[in-house]
Amino acid sequence: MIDVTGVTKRYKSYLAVSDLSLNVPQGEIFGFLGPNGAGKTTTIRMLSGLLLPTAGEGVVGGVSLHDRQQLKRVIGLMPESQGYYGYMTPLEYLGFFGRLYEVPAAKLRTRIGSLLETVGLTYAARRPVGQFSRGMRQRLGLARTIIHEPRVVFLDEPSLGLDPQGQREMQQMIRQINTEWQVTVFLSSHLLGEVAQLCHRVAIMRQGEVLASGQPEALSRELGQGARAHIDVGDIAKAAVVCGEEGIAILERDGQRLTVALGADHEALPRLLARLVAAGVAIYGAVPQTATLEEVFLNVMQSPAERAVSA
Amino acid sequence: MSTVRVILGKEWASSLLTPRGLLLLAIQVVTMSVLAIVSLSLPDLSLMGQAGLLKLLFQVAVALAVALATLAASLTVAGERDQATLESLLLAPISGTRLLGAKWLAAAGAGAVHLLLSLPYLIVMGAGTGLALWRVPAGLGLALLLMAGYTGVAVAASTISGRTFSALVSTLVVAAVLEAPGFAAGALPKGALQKWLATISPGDQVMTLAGNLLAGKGLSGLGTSWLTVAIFLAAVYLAVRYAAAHLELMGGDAQ
Ligand SMILES: Nc1ncnc2c1ncn2[C@@H]1O[C@H](COP(=O)(O)OP(=O)(O)O)[C@@H](O)[C@H]1O
Ligand SMILES: [Mg+2]
Repeated sequence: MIDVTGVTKRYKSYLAVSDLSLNVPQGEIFGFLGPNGAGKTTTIRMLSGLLLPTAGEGVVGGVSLHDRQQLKRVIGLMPESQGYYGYMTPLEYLGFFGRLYEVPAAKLRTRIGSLLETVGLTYAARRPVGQFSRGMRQRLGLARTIIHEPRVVFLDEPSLGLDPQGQREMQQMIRQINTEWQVTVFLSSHLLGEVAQLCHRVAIMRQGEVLASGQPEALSRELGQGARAHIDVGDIAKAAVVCGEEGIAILERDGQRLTVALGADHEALPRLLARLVAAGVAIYGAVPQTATLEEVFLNVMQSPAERAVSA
Repeated sequence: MSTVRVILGKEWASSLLTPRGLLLLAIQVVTMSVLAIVSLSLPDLSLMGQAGLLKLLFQVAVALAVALATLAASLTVAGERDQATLESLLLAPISGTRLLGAKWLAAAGAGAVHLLLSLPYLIVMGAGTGLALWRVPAGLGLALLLMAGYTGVAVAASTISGRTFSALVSTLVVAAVLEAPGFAAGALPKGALQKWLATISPGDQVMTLAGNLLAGKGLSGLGTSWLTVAIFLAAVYLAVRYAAAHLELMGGDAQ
């Protein structure tokens, strides 16, 4: 659904997005992570026909990046900070955009009804948007984004400024439009929890460059400073000696618990456990620790830019 | 064409039919009423003669209508930018030319309503002069050319300059620069320069054309006036086309 290579945007001398390549298959929820100023919004604007890339090729929803008018018909975008016509009601607002996208009148009526249902605004359908809370506006924005049944939907920080309850509702709706309407979702965020829960795959961006991409779990495995494990043992001194013989670093000793670094080697933990048993050390528990996406994120942010990784 | 109609409908709903739009219409009506009452009741003023009064009232009506509609128009695109509604409009599959064309049409249409509201006053004034009835609406028809020109200037300025304030200021500056020669010509002693200045201000020239109509004269022999108005409208058309081609989100729109 999204397949682009070498996409670059230069504002005068400033390189906002550099040589970005992405491939997002149909039906996926793709997460785009990065701190402020990383180039997420610029990327989304290029992929949605609002901005012409300085360089780069590719297709979104089957339409070339350079055919901007046609591109606008097949994508939907919920901008990062979107304004609303305060005097309009949701019915008028969605009606206005539906007609602008030339959705046939009869279809538009039923579509607006079901969209308001999906975003939970049926009860407020005839109230002016000026009276809405931020959460309600954001939900209306989501409905506007998919009024014309786009193939790909870009959501630029959809949870920005929402309270935890509002964020959870927004995430449910995103999942719902992804599954019920089979819409490919491209989601930018700096909320790691949101992305980890929602997205099939993520890319982490910094200063215009993608530093890492892949499935959240894979990224955690590969980039979480190496895997670790807590091991509860009977004889901690003897266990430490065994670790030393195996070349496994001990990160922490706490009572009967050892925390060891396993590196990227998947076989390190079973091998260590077998050696401990052979040495007669009683094992009460062994818990592998995988890194959270947050650790991965911080890790990637601190690494030099050349260390681009793909998992 | 249908997308143009959609924008047009939204523009009118958000301009004419809002408190601000109604206030602007009220300003027009109240000003015309006050002037009509004053001019009919003051014996000194009526020294000007009925025909002179009609011309004065016509000029005030047109100047006010054009000024109010132009001010409102200068906010259209810049206002969308300020309210952060522009991005969702630009996302829709409508070309910049159509979008601005619709906004221009809406602004000129709102201005036409202002002119229409002045029509009854002018007809009443005109009736006393024994003027043929068609001459007053025909004069307002000419004023519509000026209306189209200046609302176009405002729409282009609104698109090119970033925010509402700079849109307002740049529209006023363009209008001042265009109309200053007309005023200067009135103040300067007669001469070649004065003669030239007296022909290049579009508002001045429309008033000249309409003044002839209202004085019961024809429009022949006014080639330079027509030429000035035509050049003005052509330039405005090109300015709106230029603005449409450069209708983009600007830096900082995301913030
Ligand atoms: N129109 C513009 N002109 C100049 N620089 C811009 C413009 N838009 C964005 N930038 C710069 O490009 C960088 C990336 O911005 P953006 O894409 O908005 O990042 P993000 O959405 O990840 O916060 C920022 O440093 C920003 O200042
Ligand atoms: Mg952003």
